[in-house]
Amino acid sequence: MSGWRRAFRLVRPSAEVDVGEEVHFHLESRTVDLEAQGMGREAARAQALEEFGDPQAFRRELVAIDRRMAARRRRSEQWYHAVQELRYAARRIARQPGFSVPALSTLVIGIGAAAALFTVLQQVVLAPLPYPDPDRLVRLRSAVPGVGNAHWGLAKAQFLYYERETRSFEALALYRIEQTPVGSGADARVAAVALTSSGMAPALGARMARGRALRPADGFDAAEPVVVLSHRTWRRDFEGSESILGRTLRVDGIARTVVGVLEPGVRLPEEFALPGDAAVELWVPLPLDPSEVPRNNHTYRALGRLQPHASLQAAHADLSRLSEALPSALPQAYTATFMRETGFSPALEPLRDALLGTLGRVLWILFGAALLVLLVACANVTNLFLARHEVRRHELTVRAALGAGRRSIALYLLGEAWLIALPAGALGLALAGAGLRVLVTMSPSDFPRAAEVHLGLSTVAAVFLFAMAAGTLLGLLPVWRIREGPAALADSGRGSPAPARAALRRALVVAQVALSLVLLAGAGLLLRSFRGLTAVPTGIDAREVLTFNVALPWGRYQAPAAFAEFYLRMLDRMRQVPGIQEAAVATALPMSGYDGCSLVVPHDAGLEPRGQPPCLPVIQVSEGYFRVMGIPLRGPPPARTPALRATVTVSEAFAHRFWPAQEPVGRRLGQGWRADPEQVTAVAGDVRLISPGSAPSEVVYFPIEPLQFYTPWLSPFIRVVLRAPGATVASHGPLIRQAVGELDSEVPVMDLQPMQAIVEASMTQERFAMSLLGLASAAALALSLLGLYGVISYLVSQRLLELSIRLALGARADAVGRLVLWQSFRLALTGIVLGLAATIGLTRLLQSQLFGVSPTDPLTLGGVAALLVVLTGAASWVPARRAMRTEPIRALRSS
Amino acid sequence: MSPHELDLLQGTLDVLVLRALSITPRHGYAVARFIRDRSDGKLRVLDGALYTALHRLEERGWLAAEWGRAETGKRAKFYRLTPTGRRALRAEADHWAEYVAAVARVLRAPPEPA
Repeated sequence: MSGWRRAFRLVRPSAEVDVGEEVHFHLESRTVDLEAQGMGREAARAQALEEFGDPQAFRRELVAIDRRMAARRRRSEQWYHAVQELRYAARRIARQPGFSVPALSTLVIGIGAAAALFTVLQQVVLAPLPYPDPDRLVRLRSAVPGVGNAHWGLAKAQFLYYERETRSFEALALYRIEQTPVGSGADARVAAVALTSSGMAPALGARMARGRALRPADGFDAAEPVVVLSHRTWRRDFEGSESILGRTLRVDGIARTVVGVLEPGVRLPEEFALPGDAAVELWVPLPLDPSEVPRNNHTYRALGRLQPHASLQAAHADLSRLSEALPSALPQAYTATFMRETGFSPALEPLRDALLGTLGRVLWILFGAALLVLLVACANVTNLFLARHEVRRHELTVRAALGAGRRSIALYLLGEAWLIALPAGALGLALAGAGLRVLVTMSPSDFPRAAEVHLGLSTVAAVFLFAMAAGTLLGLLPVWRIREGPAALADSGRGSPAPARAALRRALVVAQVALSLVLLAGAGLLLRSFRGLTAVPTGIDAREVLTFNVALPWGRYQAPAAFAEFYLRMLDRMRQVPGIQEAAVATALPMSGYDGCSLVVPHDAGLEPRGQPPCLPVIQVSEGYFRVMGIPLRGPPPARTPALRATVTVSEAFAHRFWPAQEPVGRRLGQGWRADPEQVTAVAGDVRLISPGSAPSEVVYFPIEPLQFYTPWLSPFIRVVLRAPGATVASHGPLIRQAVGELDSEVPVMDLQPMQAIVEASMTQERFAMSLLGLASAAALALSLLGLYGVISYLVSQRLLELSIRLALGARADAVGRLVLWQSFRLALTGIVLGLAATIGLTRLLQSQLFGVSPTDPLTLGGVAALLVVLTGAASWVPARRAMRTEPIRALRSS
Repeated sequence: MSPHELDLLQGTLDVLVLRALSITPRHGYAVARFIRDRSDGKLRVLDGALYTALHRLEERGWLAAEWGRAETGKRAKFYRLTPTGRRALRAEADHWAEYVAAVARVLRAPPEPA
């Protein structure tokens, strides 16, 4: 117990003494009064006692009340003191902006970064998908390791076979989302429509608000055309009409009967990555007739719901077993050779992982980076607090010597630390909130649930707990060093720092430098990788190219010949638009992904006859395509021959794989073994269909004009490219829409954008990771340089006496400067060495995000280390100069 | 106990104590004497209960206490009414008057016709 309280306790009598005295006084006074009325002393005493009641019992009761009262009073006094301390602390902090502003802002940056990424990680990566039992949802694809393209979707026949035979799934769904013309006349527009098998609703656990779900029979060839509406569409386009069932809606030119309305909030997994207004509006039955001839065409998406206790492994084993039997189950579509060549097998992954792709990993890395920034910030703030405590050591020792207990001193220090940490938490949350909005706008377009990310209760709670803990630790840092008594007072006046404390501060700076190096190295690697990506020759000249998509209503354009005729007429019309030099169409564009493939047989390529030929992208293009895209072309472009056959073009990569070191022009290739081969008349420069990071694609280009003997599947959905120097979406959008509208008012112009935007969009995830990690490392670097500067300044001020004695004894000023610089370089170098070691361990996590750079790229690591050395020099320059300019006499006097 | 002494109703003691202290601060014995004298000894209160009331009212914040010197020069604990206590007295006194009036009305009511 501390001195003053002991003293106070002596002055204040205990409750028993108080009560005893009070009761005694009463009995005494009453006895005297009764005696005055003529009673005898004994009788008076007895009467007084009788009037009082049992003195023992009342005394006990009174003492109990007094004790309670005293305890309550003590508590309220403590509160009062605490509030008082906080008020003093606030005043002290406000008076010292040199301490409080850096401490506060450092923590705000650290907390803001960590809170923002914690929120994203929690809500995008960790939160379950909003379906009942989401862990049972699985995405199904076909793995084809034998083909360059790693995964395909599912084919209809394959799906029906799985659905019929598997015991591992409660429900399976085959689907595809398409932009489709909906409505007719003035109301015609394009909407996202899901073509789906009947298993979708049971698989997702979706229920109907009205009517019925899709049934297997809806997909049969002879079925009535039906449609199911999303709840939102029902509300928005039909005002939630109760008589909706049975009404008809034109979808893709076909009148469909509305048979049901989904419950609100039902979404396909793909919709999480779409902005709200691009949500799927209609579910239309996918044509899926068991009597259809099985085809080897793996272009559909599929998902499934596992049986309640089935594991992913068991389901995989089940489907693998079924897949191995495909050649006997569906011999028309799957041959043993095909299975062997492609390595065809089912690929299953949890739906959540499938939606996140590599983004989950990127977000974990970014969260780790944010935690490192927070660590650097904490180290920095700790250093600031240590310095402050150092300055006030004398004051605290005086307080302790005057009898202030550890508890009251702790309160004094804690008050200050909490007043920094808690507001920093609040401001950090505000920063995180603002940061999240920026994050969402710059996030990759396939970032699931991005629009829904918001600061949640758990983030707020985590930040609050962190701020409390940080404040407590920072405040209590010096308490264990406070000694009581006059001896402490005697030596606290001297300026020499406690050696342990100085060592702690140096260690903190070393840690900061090391952590900054890790972050800088990570950012540097991503930057180099990104520059590598952008430096990859795209094979096209995207500048001055505009592109858009058109979708033809299926109902009125049934035959591929009709498509082609429309396309060619449209191109003629486009060429008349002022500013457009050349126009062309293609079934797929570079850098925008490519689903599926066609069987291609290059002759004289040493392929086994009768085996399953390789499955490769076949793109149909109009004649001007290569000119518009700036793809170098050796030979005439693909065209229809007078015999209604085709001349085709292959890519360099294709030629290199199948006819290495031979002239490809003049060779022949067919689609499948049975088809008559076509003549290769030209070789086109390489392009990448997926992204700049992928390998050059092995592509065959066919003409868009219809051919006689077979017609490659021509889509009613096609991409148009225009070479129009100086044209922008704003300047040419209306002209283009008008031109297409004049040809057919039901054909919409979609996704009009510069080709450059598509190229850039293929790298958004890389750009996203790089920018955020760059931001994190810049913040960490700034913080650690501040910390270094602070510590060196402090060390110089501590050594000022010694340095001035050196100067007075004739040391040269530049030697003193070197001494100081060397001191800080030693710290920085230790940090750099430790940081490099950590970096080599940690950057391996980045491996999957890197393109063309090793995670231990010596150039990057060396460059980052050199940068830190230079910046260390800069940060220590000011303190070093101060040391050199010390006037010995002044330093000696002031100490 | 003489037949003319009245037992106190619950809570009444508090009002009496507050009333005693509303005139001037007093020590506990003076409060007891005040009640005995003003009621002509009609109200029967155990003095111990009176002290319990004093301490409770102090705990409640209606009274404040401090040690001082009695007329005889002896050390005694003096109680005085706090502003809260004064407001409470007003409220309790009103309440008490209403209570008394209500009981009186019932007692004076004419007999009902049978």
